[in-house]
Amino acid sequence: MTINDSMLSLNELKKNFGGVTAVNNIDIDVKNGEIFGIIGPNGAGKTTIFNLITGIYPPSEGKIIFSDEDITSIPTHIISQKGISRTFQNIRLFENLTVYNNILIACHHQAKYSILSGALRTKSCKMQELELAAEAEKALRSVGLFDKKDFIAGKLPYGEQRKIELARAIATKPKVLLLDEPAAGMNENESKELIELIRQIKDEYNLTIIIIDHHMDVIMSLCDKIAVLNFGQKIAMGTPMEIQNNEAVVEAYLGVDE
Amino acid sequence: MNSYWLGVSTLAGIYLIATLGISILTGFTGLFSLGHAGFMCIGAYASAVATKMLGVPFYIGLIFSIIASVIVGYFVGYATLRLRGDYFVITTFALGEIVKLVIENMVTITGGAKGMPDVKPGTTFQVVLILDIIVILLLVNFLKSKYGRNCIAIREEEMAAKIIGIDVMKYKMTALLISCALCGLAGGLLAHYMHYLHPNMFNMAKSNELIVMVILGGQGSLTGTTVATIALVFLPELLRIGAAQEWRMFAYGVLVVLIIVLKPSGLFGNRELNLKGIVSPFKKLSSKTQGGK
Repeated sequence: MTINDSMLSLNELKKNFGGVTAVNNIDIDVKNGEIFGIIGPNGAGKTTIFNLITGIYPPSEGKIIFSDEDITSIPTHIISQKGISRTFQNIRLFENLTVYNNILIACHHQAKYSILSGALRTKSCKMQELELAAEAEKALRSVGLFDKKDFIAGKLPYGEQRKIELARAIATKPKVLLLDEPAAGMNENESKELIELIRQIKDEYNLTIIIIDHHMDVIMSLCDKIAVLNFGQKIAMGTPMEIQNNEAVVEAYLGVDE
Repeated sequence: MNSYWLGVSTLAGIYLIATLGISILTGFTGLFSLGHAGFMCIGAYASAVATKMLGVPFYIGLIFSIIASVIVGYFVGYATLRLRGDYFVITTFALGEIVKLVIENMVTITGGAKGMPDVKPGTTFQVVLILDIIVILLLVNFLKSKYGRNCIAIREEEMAAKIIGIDVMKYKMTALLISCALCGLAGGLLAHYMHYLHPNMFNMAKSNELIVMVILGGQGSLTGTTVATIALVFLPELLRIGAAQEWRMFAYGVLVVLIIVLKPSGLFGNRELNLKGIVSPFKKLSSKTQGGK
């Protein structure tokens, strides 16, 4: 796959909740290796797009194509196995488990031993468990959480919980990573660190990334391309420079000067 | 040990097999059931009927118990596991009652409400003890495997489990079938221990008792389930002694409520008892005393 191939494309995607149209005729094409930003005011339909891509609910109309394959309306766990992973706006960890187990569980797709082999703890099961452990360690080191691996995930500070979620997402070995407000609640320094971390894991794991955030410094410095949403409609799309000078965008965020 | 306490121990061992199964379903996968006495009932009658009518030996009867219970469990799971939380609980409750009623009305085979006498003997304390050990070893390994960890992930956060590629339905079904198999086996053992079966032995109170044992022990702890089961089978018998007789069920209730109030996460929370846990406090102690020198 070359750089300019389409990795994920949304074709005329639409989602109605009763009478409300949360997402209306969205066309987005994300290229392989790109970092693609989605911004917009609250309630613009950004997270809904992530939920549609990951199959949490099916779209009312339209198609989702993931590297030439139609993945519209297939179950979430299969979309994950095909190579799309995500983090959540409101962190969803396995809170009572250790950091290590949070990541280890995300590596499970690599272990193929049977349930019987697991219950009898056969040699092949033990070998594969060792491989899983190595994978989990690698993901933990990538986000710099290895020394926290034995802590209970839910008891760590907010910033570290975000990193655990990130590590868990990359441990599934995705091709596309969806980040839903990774910088939420972070101060300037923390978001700078986050920008570096995202760049680093993108290169390390060869990822295509779609990111939603309200922190413009994060979006503008990371993204190759940005789509702007308002009330479920795409009102602009382009490079960070183009978006910053777009009148419709300024209007959506700041209102019209009367 | 006199035969009375040996009998109580055998009963405790039989119930332990059932509660360990329910522990996987409720404690580790997060699915509550108020009808698992129904699966014990299926197991009990399956083995009793198989040994009586087909003349198979007792241990083959137990295999009938497991298979019958798992088959019913599969259909129940297929129909109900898509239901969320409370709805699943209600259907399991209904299932428990349905099983009881069906068996009560199959008079020609089960003897109906008159009960089923002369079930082949076979269950001894030794058999139960060996089965307990095998079940515990298999379940410990299961929980250490990816299958067990996937179940725990579903209990913790179902949406996140889906997002990392876990087929939630499949693992809920796995947990349900494990609990059905073990409850079926326990039912079979009970049949060949009591030598007499009656549908009311598996009523809703029995289902409640099973789930109380798991919750009291602590959700997500096989150790907790084991301790709580043994304690709750022995407790009413211990309270039988002397003047406590009249008040024993009352005392039983009070003790259960006290534990729930004082320790809401159960006796053991989600911790397990292991050798490390026993040894390490001593090690700490010895290193402290050495440090003092």
